[in-house]
Amino acid sequence: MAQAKQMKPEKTRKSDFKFTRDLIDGLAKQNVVLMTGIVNAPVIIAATTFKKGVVIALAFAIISFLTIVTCSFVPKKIVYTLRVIIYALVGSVYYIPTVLLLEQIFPLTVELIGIYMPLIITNALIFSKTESRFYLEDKLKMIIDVIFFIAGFGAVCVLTGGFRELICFGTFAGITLFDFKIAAFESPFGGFILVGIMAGMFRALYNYLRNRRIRLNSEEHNKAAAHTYHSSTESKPATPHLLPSQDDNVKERSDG
Amino acid sequence: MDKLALFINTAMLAMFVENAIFSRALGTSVAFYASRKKESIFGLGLGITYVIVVSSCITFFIDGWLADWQYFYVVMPLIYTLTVSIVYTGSLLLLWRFLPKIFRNIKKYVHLSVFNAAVLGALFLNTTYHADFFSYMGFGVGIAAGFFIAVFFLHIANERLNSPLIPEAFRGMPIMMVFVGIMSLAFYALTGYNTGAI
Repeated sequence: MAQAKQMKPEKTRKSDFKFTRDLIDGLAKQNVVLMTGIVNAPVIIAATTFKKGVVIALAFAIISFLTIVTCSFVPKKIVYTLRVIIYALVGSVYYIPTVLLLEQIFPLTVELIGIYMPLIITNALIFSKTESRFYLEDKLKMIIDVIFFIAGFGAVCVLTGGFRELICFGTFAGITLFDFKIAAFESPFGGFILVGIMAGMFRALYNYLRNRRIRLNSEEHNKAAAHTYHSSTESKPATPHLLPSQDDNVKERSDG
Repeated sequence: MDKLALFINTAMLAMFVENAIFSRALGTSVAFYASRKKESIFGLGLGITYVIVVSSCITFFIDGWLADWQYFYVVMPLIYTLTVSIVYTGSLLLLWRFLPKIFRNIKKYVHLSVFNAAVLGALFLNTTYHADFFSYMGFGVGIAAGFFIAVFFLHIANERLNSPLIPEAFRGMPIMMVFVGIMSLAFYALTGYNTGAI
């Protein structure tokens, strides 16, 4: 019982949760392939064509969403060491209708994906992110959050599949575009290198945009502060300086 | 003697040609996590080896029994997850009863060595490629040993790949991926790279 109490997660995210900002974390800031790298095997090995990318993304979306939502009702009194068994079993149960449904729509593609289809049930979104993030949120927020995380994976999976098809076969979604082919990118080593480069470039872009936003925000903040200062000095000329001027800074520095 | 040769051959094949990380990308995120600390490599390596070998022995009999069933491939993940779960729970109960100190130390992370793509992937590959009990066992041992080797390589490279010499955006996971890609290319030399065979 004491162990169960110890393992019970506290709902710490409730208070500081920003509805708009935190919910889109799954798309960029915490993208499971490019930023955290916790789900990458299907993208690296199996997503070699656009169609395969779509099928993997769909299977991942259905299995992960249903499993995470269903397992959110599992009592937290059960210790996590044993709760993971329930997560795995629920994922395996949802795999059955998912694969039967996708086989009806994409019969050959499901077969070509092979063992990477059932391996979706062991993805880290179900085993790790649930405990560290999803199950600390309210139900509605959790559902929206999960959808964004799944969308983040799906977008990368489909884009990687499409790009690899383009450079490996010169086709896109089965339509021949040109005759230029680099077949090595279809192999696992090609997948690793491509996903690694994509992750690095995505992080660089994300960092650039974040720094730019911070810089713009601080500039706006400074402008607003300066505006407040000027308006206050105009109305009350006797008030002491709120913001130090350049001359003040120089004086402070020269004073040591 | 033939059985022993089969066991060793399959284990070698699984270790180098079908390497869990470099050829199949099975359990890559767990490998990245484990490569940070030396203790984690041995702990996770032992855990994964144990679960794969014991589960492979059980699934050999399940496969023999259900292989001809038309929908076996659909329920296979459920059956294998159930098998792994039974092995996991049984082992934890034994540890809790006889080695409580070890149980307390590992209980927080033990699920990582059980519910990951390397374990289930090894069982799926076994079903796809093998029909003999010793080849099942050999493949299980080989996949686990291959995983251990891969994590050890990652551990060696870990410090350099996280150094300030690497551009900030590529530091950590992205450069690790590129490194695994290059290692994977090196492992392909063991079989001979052939674009037609991909």
